Amino acid sequence: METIVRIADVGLWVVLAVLVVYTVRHYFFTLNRLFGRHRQPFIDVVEANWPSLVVFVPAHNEARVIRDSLDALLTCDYPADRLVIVPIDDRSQDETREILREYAALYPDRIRPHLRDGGIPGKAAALAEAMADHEEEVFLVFDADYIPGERLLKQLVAPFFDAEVGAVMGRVVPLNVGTSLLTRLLDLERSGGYQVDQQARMNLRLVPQYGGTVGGVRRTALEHVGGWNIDSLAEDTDLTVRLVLAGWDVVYQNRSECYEEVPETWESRIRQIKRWAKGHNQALRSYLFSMFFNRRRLPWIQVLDGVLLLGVFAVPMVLAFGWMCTIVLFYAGYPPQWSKVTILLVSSFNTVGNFASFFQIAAASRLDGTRERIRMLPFMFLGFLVSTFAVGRATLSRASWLRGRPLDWEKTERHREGRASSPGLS
Amino acid sequence: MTPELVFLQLLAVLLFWMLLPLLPALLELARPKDAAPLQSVGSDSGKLTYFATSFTERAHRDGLLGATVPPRMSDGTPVIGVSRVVPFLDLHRPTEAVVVLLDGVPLPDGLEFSAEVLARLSMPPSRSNTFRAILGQRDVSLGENSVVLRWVHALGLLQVADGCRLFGRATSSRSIILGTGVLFERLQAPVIRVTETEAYQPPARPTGSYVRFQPRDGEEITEGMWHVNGDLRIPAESLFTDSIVVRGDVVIGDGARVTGSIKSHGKILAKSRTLVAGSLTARENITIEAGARVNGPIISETSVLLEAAVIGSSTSPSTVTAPQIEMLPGATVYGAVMAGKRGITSLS
Repeated sequence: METIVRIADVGLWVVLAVLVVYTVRHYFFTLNRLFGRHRQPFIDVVEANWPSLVVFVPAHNEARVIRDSLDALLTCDYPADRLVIVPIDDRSQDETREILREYAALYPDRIRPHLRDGGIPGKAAALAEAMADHEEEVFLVFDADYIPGERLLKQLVAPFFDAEVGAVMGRVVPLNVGTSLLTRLLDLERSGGYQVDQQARMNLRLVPQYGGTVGGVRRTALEHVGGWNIDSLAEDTDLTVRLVLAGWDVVYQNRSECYEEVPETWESRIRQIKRWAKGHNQALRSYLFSMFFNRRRLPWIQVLDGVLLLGVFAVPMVLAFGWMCTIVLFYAGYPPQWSKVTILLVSSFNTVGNFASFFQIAAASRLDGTRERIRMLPFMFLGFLVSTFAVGRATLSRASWLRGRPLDWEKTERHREGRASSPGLS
Repeated sequence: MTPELVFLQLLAVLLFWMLLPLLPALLELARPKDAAPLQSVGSDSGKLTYFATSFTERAHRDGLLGATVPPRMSDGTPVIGVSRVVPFLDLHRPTEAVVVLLDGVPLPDGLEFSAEVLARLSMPPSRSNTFRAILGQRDVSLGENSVVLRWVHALGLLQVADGCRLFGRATSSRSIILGTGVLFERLQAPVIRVTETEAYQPPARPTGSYVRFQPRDGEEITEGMWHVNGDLRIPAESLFTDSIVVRGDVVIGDGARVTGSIKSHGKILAKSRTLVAGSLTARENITIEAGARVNGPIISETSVLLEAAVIGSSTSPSTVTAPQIEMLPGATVYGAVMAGKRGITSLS
């Protein structure tokens, strides 16, 4: 019994330390965004000898949304003779393939679909296969529901003029904000996550995350770190860590905004969170040791941020363990240690999971210049509870920690009304 | 009143008190006021001619480019047509009218124009005027100590005299020639030059005439990409054919040639007659000496000093970007110069 009590006591201190670090991190990032120097060295590169570029758009049953994405890409101001758009149809069962063929016929020089009927499932495998057909040094990846602005391609390519940059990530802005309570909450969460969290990491030269949905990768860097990890459920996080460990920079561009469709149902949201959590936990298992003992002697602050980034989805379990330790100590006859309990409460309030904390969201809303949407903040607590449940279940699943290929893939459901034809045909 | 009722009343008051912070949330949920997507996508400031293009469309729509000038624009802003026949008379207070210069008549000196000025022919210089914005259908000349508060765009040459201050955007479809002591923020044109002085450009040499350089203390992390932990000096008259990331300072020796790109965590000094085909990126200062040429973008997180060197080319434009940029006479940029905080042209 004494051993259990000792383990619980030590465990509680460890848990408190972890939670305090996350809490400080949230505050530090927020204060940096409110009062620190905004670092965006590449956003003003407006003229250059732009390199040949391939834009990959992986798609699996995306008939509802892919037309909008392709139309937006076609109107981007990137030199037409240096741009190839490659939508990758990964065994769709809806009309995605027909739509891609239609666009390829309309724009044969600019749209060259890559059609997959077999092979390993998943985005990373699809990208690896499609990349083999192209030789360009820089490529961008957009999700099929993403709608870029006119200048986005140039903005995302500009950081690659820096020889150290291996990957670039733009900012995601929800398009279907007003659809439901969930979409409004996700709008706030995205705001906090990108406007504060990602940009603060960029400002402080930490580890901005390549998110895989609106970003780009340098081929040399990707090949240097061994290509896409097709066994990962979060190939973007996996790649981010490998690039940083190999000495490449990951850049976040806050002004490179792109619209996305966020999940509109809680079921869809839970599936999305679970996939992210499993992918992050896989990466945590794979790279925790490498982060601490990296060959490139990364600055300790970058190592710490990388580890905290990887561990973000393990926090709810850490928190649960903390509460378990508290209960064990209580029933073992130890008086409640109110100072510890208070820290646990405050930290849990601030750091649960991947979602931006309240004050981060408030700061992001201020930075975005919006006024009314911040009123929805109290409802974030509901979102937190749902996410905690989803992350908890994902963290306890085998897929979070197993080695080898993922057992299943969860595709995010689309809700947008599909268009019947492309503008060129109508 | 029974104790139970008192208790229930207290409970109701307490619940109401606790739910009070939720009221704005509930109201916003019931009647959304801010449920539209952020209007940030596609509204970036990267298109420097955005305002000029918008004003041109407005000018066309409201008939400012017709045979006669209307007295007001469609939004009610007054319009004044100025020509040799009808000279500008309101010399004593800022004019809030859109001023249309119908011919090449010079404006009087020392005036303030709080609305746009549209020059239908070439705009001759006048001194110490303050403009909100200028659209020139042909050449635009800004006289000494003129100030542009938001933007100036010339379809022809934009000539800026000594001591002018260009806040916001200055663009030209042909070229920009800056005097000395000019403060600027963002410039874009096929060619931007400080004074009429031409930068000296050494004749091209075959790559075989250089001595090949390979960093001794560097690590080739992948083919064509090097990492160096300390400082790096590329010797004079040598050739480096790869790209390199240096954790210290970089000096590119006199007459050296680099066919890749260079990134420095410290400073970069490109000495005279160097030729860099790729880009230069540094966390600290970048100095490009007279006679050097860089084809790719120059990106510094601190400052750039550009002597009489050439950046980019007429067929391959480029960008110089940094919080602070200083350009000396002869400095020539094909493309854009973007100073985040302060750009200045100076004599030395």
